[in-house]
Amino acid sequence: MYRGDWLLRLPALSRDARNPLRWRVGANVWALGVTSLLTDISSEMVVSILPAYLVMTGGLAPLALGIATGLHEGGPLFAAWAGGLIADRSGRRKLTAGLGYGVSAICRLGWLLLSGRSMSAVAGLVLSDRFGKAIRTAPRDAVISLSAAPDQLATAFGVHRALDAAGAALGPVLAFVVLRQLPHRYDVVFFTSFVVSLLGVLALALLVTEPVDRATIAAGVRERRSDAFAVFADAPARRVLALAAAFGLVTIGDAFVYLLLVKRSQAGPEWIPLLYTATAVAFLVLAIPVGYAADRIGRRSVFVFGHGFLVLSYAAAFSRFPVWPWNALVCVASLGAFSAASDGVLPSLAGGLLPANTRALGLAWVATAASAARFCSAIVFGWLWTRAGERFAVLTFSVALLAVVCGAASARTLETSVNG
Amino acid sequence: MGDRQTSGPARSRQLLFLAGCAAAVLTVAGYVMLTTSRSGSRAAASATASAPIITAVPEGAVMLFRNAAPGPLYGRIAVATLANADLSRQITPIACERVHYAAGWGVCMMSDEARLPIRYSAFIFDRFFERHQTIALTGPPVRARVSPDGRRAALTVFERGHSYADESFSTKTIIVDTTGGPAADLEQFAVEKDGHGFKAVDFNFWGVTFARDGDRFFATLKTGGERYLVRGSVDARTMTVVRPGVECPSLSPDGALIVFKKPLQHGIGWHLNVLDLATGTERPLNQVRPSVDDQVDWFDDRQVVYHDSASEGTGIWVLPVDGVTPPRLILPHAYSPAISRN
Repeated sequence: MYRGDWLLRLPALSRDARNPLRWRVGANVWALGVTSLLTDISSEMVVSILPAYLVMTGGLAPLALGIATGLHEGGPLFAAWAGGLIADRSGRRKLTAGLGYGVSAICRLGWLLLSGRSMSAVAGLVLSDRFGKAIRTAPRDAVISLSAAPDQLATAFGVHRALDAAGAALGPVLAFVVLRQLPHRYDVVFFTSFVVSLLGVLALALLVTEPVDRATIAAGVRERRSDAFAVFADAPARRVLALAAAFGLVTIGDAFVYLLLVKRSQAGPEWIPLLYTATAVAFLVLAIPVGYAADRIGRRSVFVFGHGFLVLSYAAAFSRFPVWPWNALVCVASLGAFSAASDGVLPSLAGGLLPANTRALGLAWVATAASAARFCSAIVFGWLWTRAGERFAVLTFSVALLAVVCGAASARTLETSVNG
Repeated sequence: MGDRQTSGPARSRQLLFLAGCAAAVLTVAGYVMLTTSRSGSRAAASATASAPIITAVPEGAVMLFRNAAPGPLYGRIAVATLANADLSRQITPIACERVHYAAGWGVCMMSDEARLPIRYSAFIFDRFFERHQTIALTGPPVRARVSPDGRRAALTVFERGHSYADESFSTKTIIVDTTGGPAADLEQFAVEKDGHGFKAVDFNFWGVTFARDGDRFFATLKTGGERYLVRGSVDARTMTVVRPGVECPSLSPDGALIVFKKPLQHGIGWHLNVLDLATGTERPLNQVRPSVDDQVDWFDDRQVVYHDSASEGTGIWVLPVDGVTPPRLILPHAYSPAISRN
């Protein structure tokens, strides 16, 4: 599909070829993809073995770890916002993202030195890693959006997210291979993870270039609008923020869909980790084609109608038709398609609408709005599930989601300003 | 990305990155070579190299545990005769993640990670390691306990996804008769608190410890953020809340004391405390480490035994309940200790 992109756009590409900036743009997106690939391999290596490691070596219960990390969800939210603000204020997006990647790399070293002795230290490491991730996300997405041509934004995000998902899928495999060859050598897993995370930082430092803010330079001004609420100044940005929040509020989290699926199909809960992996693979395969389609059809339409796949996944989880495991296959494929149409397309939609000098902070706001809305929806959905039963809860959320899709579809289109 | 035109500096940066990748591979290989020749793990491996394989649990007071010494026998259950001062390990034919054993009956909890999805199960075994019943578990093993008379076994597992937030875990505890019959789920028992019925959807039970008769037991009940000590009867299917702030109780052989984990006031972790059931007074033990997380067993009438991290991996420690004496490591590379006196 991506090769198809090249063929279809051959005339345009040959024109672009005369513009060396355009070429560097592509390289930057790939380079950030490689950075994320390496970082995700590194982090998923540790995450996949952590429960076993904690139980085997320190006698620490994952229960307490869950409690410890669950309590601090607010911290990373603030860090995401701070990361966006610093990146915009300083104009050094690459450096800010690098800071986030660096924090996570140091955490890997922490695992090796710590040997999981103390619960507080374990919680501290998990938390610092999350801070690192929160800090880097918005500046990195801003670099991606500033490194791609305006009409290629969603494809660029698709490429990045595909590499990112590939890293998440490869990490556990690498950890598995290490432990298979060297049984119980968790230290080798931690050391490898640390080295791979350093490679991620190296890829960022060497291969990524800070995008030149052409529009601002052309205007001859370096506007300082980067205060916390600057993103609300622009009506299109406001609308995309509202869009992210509205859809987040009516979205059922993957975890609930899997629960529903295994419960309705009377499959064991032991399938759930595998469903996560299968969804990641579907996402990895679909991210680039869906991004490409979004650039052609319209990012907003793909984002809005992509939620149809979510409804399809509910239906597959709920209807028991086709029978297990085929309904699971339909379910994870739909969830993967939904992620491709939301996870990569939303920042490209927002990125195309936000001015360059407030882009990182704006992206942080959009991501925060979406995740805060999803958190609320998880609580409401959980409450509905226990009070009124799964059928009522799923039906309510499906109807609400379809209503938001219809509302968004009939609302004034945002796309017109994208290519302007 | 291969068709890209690359300028000179960009090209040299790419080469530098590739050099970095090569250096990374060499670094990891070097680390593995350097650390595998370390004497520590070899010594640990030799601890089991000459270990005899036994087909029955020896008579007398013994300790069963999971062998955590690296090597082919990692994960096997081992037995040490307490009369032998050196506690040399004898390897059994079974492999478990958590084990408990008393009066000729044992329970073994394990994960089958050989194929996906991972499955969890447990089985009851006798002194000849003969399997008597297999129990499918709904999550990873956490706690196992057999009653002192060998009549019953309690099994606790983690269960995920039973709560709203992804991060939170819950537990499930069942009690089975070692001679067969349906399992009893603690969540089906009637609970009483201050003379009134007590019930909430967020009830979580774990860490059962049995009295000598195999009927009366103590356990942890968590609800609304508080962990309570509950006293119960398996035959009557009832439980009564005794006091708050108690986790993973372990009843002494004479039934007078309970050693339990108390959540730390500041920070995350647990401190071992002893509760005198007659007077209701509790006092902390001198565990030295900031946190210990295990349901202890009683080594004798005055000392408890548990696993905790040692200099390399995990080991078994003995701690007197006097509140003064620090713990001592009695076995390195070992996990999940269970004491059987008969």
